[in-house]
Amino acid sequence: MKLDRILKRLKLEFLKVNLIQASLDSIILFLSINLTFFLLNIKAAAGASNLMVSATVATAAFLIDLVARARTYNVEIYEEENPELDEILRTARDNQDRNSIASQALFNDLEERAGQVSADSIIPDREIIRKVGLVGALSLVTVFSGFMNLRVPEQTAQIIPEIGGEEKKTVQDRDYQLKNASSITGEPTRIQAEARELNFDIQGSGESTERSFTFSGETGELSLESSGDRIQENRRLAEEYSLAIKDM
Amino acid sequence: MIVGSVDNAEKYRKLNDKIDDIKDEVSKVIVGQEDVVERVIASILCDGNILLESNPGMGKTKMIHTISEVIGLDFSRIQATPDLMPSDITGTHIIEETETSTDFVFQKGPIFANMVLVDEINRATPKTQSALLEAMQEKQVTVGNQSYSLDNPFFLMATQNPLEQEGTYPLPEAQQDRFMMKVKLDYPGTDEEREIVERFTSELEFSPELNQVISKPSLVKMQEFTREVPIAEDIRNRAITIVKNTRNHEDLDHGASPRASIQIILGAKARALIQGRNHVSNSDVNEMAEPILRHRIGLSFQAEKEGKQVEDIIEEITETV
Repeated sequence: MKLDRILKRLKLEFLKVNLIQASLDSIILFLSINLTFFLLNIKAAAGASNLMVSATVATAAFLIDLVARARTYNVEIYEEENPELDEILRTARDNQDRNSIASQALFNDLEERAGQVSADSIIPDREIIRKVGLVGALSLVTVFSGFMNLRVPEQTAQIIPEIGGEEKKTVQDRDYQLKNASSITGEPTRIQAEARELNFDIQGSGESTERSFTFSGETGELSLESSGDRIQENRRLAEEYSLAIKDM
Repeated sequence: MIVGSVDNAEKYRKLNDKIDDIKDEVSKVIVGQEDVVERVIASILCDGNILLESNPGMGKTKMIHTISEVIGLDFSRIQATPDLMPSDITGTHIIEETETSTDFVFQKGPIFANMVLVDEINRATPKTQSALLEAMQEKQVTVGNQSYSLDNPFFLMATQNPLEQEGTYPLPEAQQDRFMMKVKLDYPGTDEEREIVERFTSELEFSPELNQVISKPSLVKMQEFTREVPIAEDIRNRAITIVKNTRNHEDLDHGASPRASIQIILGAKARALIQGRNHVSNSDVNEMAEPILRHRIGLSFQAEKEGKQVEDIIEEITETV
């Protein structure tokens, strides 16, 4: 039973160390993803903030990492770091169901030696210091880039497309050039107008711009010809309006 | 629970002290050769037989006799010669006449002791050598159609001389496999030899008073205890891999049997106990690999031609596994 307690304690100590390691790894991942999204001005997913995406990825990585680390546990890790326990721990582990004098003597011996063993002996100091340093550096870069607004111009790119939405096409680089009217509408056709005049009133909307057109070349006449059943009636109405204006 | 554990730890400590006492007592007579003494004690703790190889005059007989005295075992010595008959070892039926009857009774041979030293075993004929097989493995001898159990504990220590090979009958592989270890004795160092000379030239008969450290029943308990020394799975697997690797090594004609795997684990447990450790270490396996494997493997013709030694190959295997 004493041996059980010792082995459980050592495993717990191992898990504690790896909890710290996995936490640091996931923090580094979170900060890295978040910083990348910010700098590249990427919207990771529609309907979710970049912070949420980073946190989700980091949490998933943390859980996977922790489980993977926990599976690597064996007492040899302690033996490597504590030469006084070399071969004793695994012998005790492999013989823990025995109750012989020699086994009991071994367990007593182990109890004495393992009393001083703690997680400190298996903490990879340098690795943890390096990771803490990296967390600090990433945090600083994140804060600095936020203040200075160091990011590429806004993009419409989206890593995770909106579910059910249409995929938006990105604008491709192309050569653009203005075309003249004739290339758009084709060659002008001559319109014949005979002794009839029409007034046009064209209303425009939108921004007011000043356009000037220059016309060069031969003087031409633009005449429009109207035809149809309502011409006589329209002429009569025009005469009436003219007379009415004259009388005013 | 706690009291019981403390008791067990105390028992273990006392056991280690006893083994230290045995070594101390033996060192009153034998100078140096700590490794050899340790291996002989390990073999005794494992209930195994041992083959000692050395040049004459190295104190093999003295060592075995001293150890048997310290452990409180009956000791007998057999000098093997080409005309030694199996019955000279096992014993024979003789006619015993009394006033009322005449019967055949079994006269026990020198094999009926706890510790038997067979000097220059390779001088005995194969027939006589094979008479020792049953004693070594089954702890019994058969004479006629009657089997007789040997005393418990029983150990057979055999010696052979590596120099004189003429007129000898090399032990067959099957018989060599019955020996748990083959231990080679080296010449002592200068200081050690000076000490030996000093001891054995100062008195007419150098025979220091030796204390019997343990009794026969205690020894049997120690043998049981040896098997309880805990070993880690990976160390056990490594020992097995070492033995397995002797079977497909290019320089070896034949590798060691599974009995070698058993003996390495047992030997490692005994060494751990002798070293005062409460668990088997890889160093125990490494130390025991050589004496346990060297007589169980055979060099290939090519390797022999290249002058390789089995010890080099064992070392190479233990280093790579």
